[in-house]
Amino acid sequence: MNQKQRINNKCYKLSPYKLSPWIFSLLLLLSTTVFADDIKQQAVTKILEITDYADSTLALPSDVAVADGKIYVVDGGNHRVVVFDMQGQYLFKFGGKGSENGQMNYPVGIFASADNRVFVADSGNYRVQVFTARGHFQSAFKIKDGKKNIRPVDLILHSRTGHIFLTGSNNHSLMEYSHTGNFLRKWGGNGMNQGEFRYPATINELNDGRIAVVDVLNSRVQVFNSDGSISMVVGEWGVLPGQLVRPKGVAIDKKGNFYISDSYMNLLQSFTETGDFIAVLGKKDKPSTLLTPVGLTIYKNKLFVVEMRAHRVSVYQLVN
Amino acid sequence: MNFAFKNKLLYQFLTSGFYSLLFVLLMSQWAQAAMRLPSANRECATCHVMWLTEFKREDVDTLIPYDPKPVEKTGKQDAASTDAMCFSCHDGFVLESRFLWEDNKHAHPVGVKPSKNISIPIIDGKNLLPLNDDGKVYCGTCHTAHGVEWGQKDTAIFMRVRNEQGQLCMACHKDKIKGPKHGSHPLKRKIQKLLKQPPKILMAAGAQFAEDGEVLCQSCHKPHAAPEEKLLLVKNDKSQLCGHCHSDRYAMTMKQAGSMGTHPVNVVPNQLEVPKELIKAGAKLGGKGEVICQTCHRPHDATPETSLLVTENRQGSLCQSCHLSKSSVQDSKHDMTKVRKDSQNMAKQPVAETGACGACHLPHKGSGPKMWARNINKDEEPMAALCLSCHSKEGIAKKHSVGKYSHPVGIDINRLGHTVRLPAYDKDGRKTVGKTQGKVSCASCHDPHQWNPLDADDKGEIEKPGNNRTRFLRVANGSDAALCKSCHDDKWEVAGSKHDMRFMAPKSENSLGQSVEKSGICGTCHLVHHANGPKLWARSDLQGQGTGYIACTGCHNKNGLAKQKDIALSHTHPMDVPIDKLAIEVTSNGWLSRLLKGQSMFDKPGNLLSLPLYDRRGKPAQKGGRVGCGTCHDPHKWSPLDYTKPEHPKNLEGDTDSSFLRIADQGKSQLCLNCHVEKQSVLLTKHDLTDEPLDYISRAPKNKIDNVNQGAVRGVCMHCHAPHNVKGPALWGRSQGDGETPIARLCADCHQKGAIAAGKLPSDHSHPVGVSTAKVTDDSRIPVFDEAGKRTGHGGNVDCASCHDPHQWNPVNPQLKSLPLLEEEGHTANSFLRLPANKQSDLCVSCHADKKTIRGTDHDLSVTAPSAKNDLQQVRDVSGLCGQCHVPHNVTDEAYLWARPLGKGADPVEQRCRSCHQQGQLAAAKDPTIAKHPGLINIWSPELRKQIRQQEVADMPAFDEQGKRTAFGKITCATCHNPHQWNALHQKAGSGKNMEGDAESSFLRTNDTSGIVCADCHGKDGLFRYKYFHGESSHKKHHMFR
Repeated sequence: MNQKQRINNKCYKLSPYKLSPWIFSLLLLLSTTVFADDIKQQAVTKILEITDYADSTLALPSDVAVADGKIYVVDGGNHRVVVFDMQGQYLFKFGGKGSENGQMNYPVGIFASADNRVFVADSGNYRVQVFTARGHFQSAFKIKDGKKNIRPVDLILHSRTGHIFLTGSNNHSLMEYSHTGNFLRKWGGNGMNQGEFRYPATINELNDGRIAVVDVLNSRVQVFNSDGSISMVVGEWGVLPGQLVRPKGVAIDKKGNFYISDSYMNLLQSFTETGDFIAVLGKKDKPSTLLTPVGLTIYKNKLFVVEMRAHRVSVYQLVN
Repeated sequence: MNFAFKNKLLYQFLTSGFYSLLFVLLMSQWAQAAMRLPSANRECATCHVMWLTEFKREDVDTLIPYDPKPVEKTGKQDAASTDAMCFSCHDGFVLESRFLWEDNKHAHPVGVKPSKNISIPIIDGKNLLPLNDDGKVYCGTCHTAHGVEWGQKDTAIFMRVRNEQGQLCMACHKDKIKGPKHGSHPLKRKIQKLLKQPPKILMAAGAQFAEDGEVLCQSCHKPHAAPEEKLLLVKNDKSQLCGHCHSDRYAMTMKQAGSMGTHPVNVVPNQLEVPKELIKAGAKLGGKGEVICQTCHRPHDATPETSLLVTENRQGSLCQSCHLSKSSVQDSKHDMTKVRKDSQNMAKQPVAETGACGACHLPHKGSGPKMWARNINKDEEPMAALCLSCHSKEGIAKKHSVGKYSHPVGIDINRLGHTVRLPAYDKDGRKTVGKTQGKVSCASCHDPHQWNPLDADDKGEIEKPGNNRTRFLRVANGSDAALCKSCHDDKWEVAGSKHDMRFMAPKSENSLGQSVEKSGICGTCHLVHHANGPKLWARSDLQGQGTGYIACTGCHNKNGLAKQKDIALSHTHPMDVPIDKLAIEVTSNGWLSRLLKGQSMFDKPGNLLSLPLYDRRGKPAQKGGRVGCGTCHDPHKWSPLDYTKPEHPKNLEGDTDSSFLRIADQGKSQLCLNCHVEKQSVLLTKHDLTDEPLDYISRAPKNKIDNVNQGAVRGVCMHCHAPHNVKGPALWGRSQGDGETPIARLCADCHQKGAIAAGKLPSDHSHPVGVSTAKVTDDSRIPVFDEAGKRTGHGGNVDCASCHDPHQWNPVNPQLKSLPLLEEEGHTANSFLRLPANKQSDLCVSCHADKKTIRGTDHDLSVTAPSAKNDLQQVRDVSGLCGQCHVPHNVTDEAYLWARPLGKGADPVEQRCRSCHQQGQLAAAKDPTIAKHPGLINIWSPELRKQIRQQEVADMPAFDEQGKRTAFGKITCATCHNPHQWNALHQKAGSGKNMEGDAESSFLRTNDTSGIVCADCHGKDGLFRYKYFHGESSHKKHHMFR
């Protein structure tokens, strides 16, 4: 090859033909970044809003459970549970401030079981109380870690084992009790590693029996197998889509998708069953319509969201 | 362009596309991976979320907008310190602090600029406690998550400055922490100085005290979720917060305040008004206008050096701002700053500093009611004790002590029976006016704050004494006695009566030398203090002994002001006698007569008026009380009936319906019979001398006269008795007749010839009177009398009234409910006898008990001659046992009051025996032929015989020619026989059967012949001498003899 041919070869090597893929790719990349799409939104339709009842209003409610056509709302500021029908009509209430059986002191979480029992995390009294579906007191048991009183935040009655799983705020643990209130085991502890917690909050059961626990200050949701081993983690710290600042509530739909509320960012985010971000529920480009969303639950394709500082429960119709 | 070139281009395009796509994929993953790498400031960004670098990137969209300094309600501040950020953890899911966000709670102000009173410490040129960008207080001023010592606590406190001792509060609020000297509630003082431990109610509300109990800001305040305004832990609209610690001065009622000796709180003032100036100065009232602690005190911003007062209290200025009416005490004799400048109150506060108010009152910790600031004697009546702390012999006002006899205090005002316009007090100092509750006290009459009741500006002169129109009296007490009348209005009837010295003795003086004009009408007889005796007696001329009349006799004596009404103590109604001697029982329901038990003709049982009684000292006393002048007389009330007051009381003439009597006679002697209950049995008897006694049936007094000055009808008692100035015993109000004894002379006034009872004369031969009863049986039913006619004990003299009760016709049924007995002729079962004389002659044998052995013997005519009659033609049942032979009046035989025809005999004794023991008479079968010792033989009496013989002698009396026992006299029937005793050995009644006697019976005095009088002359032969009188030959047998 002569010099001219070498030059031509070099030019060929540097010719637009040879550079084109790179230019093309660069342009393509640029478009995906500079011209990135908006955050994915999931449209939801609010179908119901519950704020007041009888001669009172909800005061800093924290959690909601739905069973047998009844909506059980933890009216934390009033130290009681208020029950509505599916149309939002007030039915009855139970509780009241105090430490006697049936009374409550700033309760947080609630769970309504299929066998017509209602479990309340009576946090201020360091105990769990069990009521009938009509709100009649049945039993209660104290939550302790050794000699230390533990503040339970949320709980579930596991559908397969029948055991009660609850989150302990001040021992940063997931604790398991028998259905009669006998302590079985706990795991977790204060930390940032997987399996550890910094203030575990709400808890929910996945369709396959695994347990999802909101880990507030670690800004994630940890999913555990029934033997206590970590299964997966959903979400992480941050302000970008799919990230969390103050996760509080978690709900799982029939497909296994996660719905997580963030009470600081005032929004809900959905994740796939594998933990991939799907979308934000609510609108980003306008002020959020949610105000400190905390407790969540899904019942018959409806998403029930407790908005604490708005003193209301909002019900959204989920779209498949 | 050739085909080869074209193919080459396509090949390059596809190749580049593949590589591009691969590159893009790789790049996006790298980009995403780059996006997901953890930020170096992750932990900081837990709160400082805006520090995230993502916000600076333009290639990503964040879920929340970048706003590092949002404008909140508190102003512009860092996003990390916003309300939303704090709440994101303190919502119950991390920490439970929702109570801080609940409605209706109070929190430390945020979003405001600090006032000029706030001084934020500066360190290194910066505020230790930062403000936000707008210079306002915000959450971050006190709170931060940085550089804070967590210690052993589980939860983060996030305080910039530790606050367990209130350091954080005090760092800014310096004006609130300097203590009372600078007008702030003390801090760092131990609660144990007030209470054993901090109040539970405060602790339950969240109060904090230092470990050693020192008071902190947090002991009263709470910076978050305080339930009350001013960040207070508990309600304080009525100073309840103050009261939880200062419980010794937090009274809920006036009563409590009085007993605690503290200024009342929680009461609405009804006689004074809290001035607006005080409210402006910061005084507060309760929701309903109650005085509360904060009416006078402020816990902060109080006046310095004043114990946290709203304003100064120099010389009591704060006190007087409300208690305006009390300011009149200044410069008066009760102003200790003038009178005793060097004195102190009991809190050792010089009066020069306390002022007039503080000299006597302490707002807290007083010694008694009215917040008394001086030591008191707890034994005294509580309210009087206040005054007596000075006005006593030991006090600083000993010159004005009240004396031994002083107006009573501590007595219920309701005993006056009407409302009073002077104040009364209870033991806690609570005042009532115009009601019947409360007790009299010094302050009932005296207003210690005002010298002159008519002129508040008149303070009096310190050295000049006062008078009845000053002296801190509530009402001037001049000649109209207005002060006395305020309570003792009922006593005002004395005005215009004979006890009104203004008329009766205008020149007289009381014991203080005060003329009537000066002392006033009441003061002529009564002194409120330093009186001379009971009833606050104001006169010095006391006479007589005893109690209830010592005051009266001061005038009512022969030399006194009322000498014309001298009551002559020697012959006047008894005084100082216990009322129970009249069988009157004083009960809580009044007087009750133990004698009136359903038998009264006119009154219901026990229906007596309770009259005043007195103790031995002259003080009123019901139980155990004694009769005094005041029992019958009300010295303030001329007449219990209505009457017209004359122009001058000297024109009044008293009678039994006036004369200051408590009960008008009205012809019924109601006053007398109210005590002498049993004496009403005289009504409708022969001793009832009233004009028309039958009027008692209709209870209409005859001849009722409206004006007693014209004379009133006298009741039954007053026809015979008078209570004063009588001349004989038994308060005899009539003249006296002839008689051997005082009583007999009283009876003789009527029972004499030509007198009312001329038909009932006792005759010359009557039962003896004036003889000693020493030798007869003592029977308490039979009174005996002394030489003056007064009842006395055993051994006294028998008198008419021994056998007769002139008030009682029938001894068995004294209150006999029957028609008038005026026409009934008396007999042995009535006739005003004390005991029946018929049947068994109870009256006779009550004294002559030794004679009752005659019962059942042959000399008991109910046994041997039941149908026999005595001289008065009375059968045995009517005459009685004794009456068959003896009758007390109207007999011809004086010696034995013999009531049978005398028989034939050599001496009076035989004559009496022969009344029956002779032929043709009752005892014809026992007719001794010879009944008398032959010759003029005299024997000695058994007393003389014993002296001579010096051995036991038989009781065989000698008799004189009148038939009376004598020391040296004749032998007669009664020498050997005791006609009243059948059996010589046994002093007992007979069998009730007609018996044949023997040597041991037959009414012989003795069966022991060794001592018989016969033997004195006849020696041993005397044994048989009796047969001289009673042998076969000396007796004639009667056909009735068996």
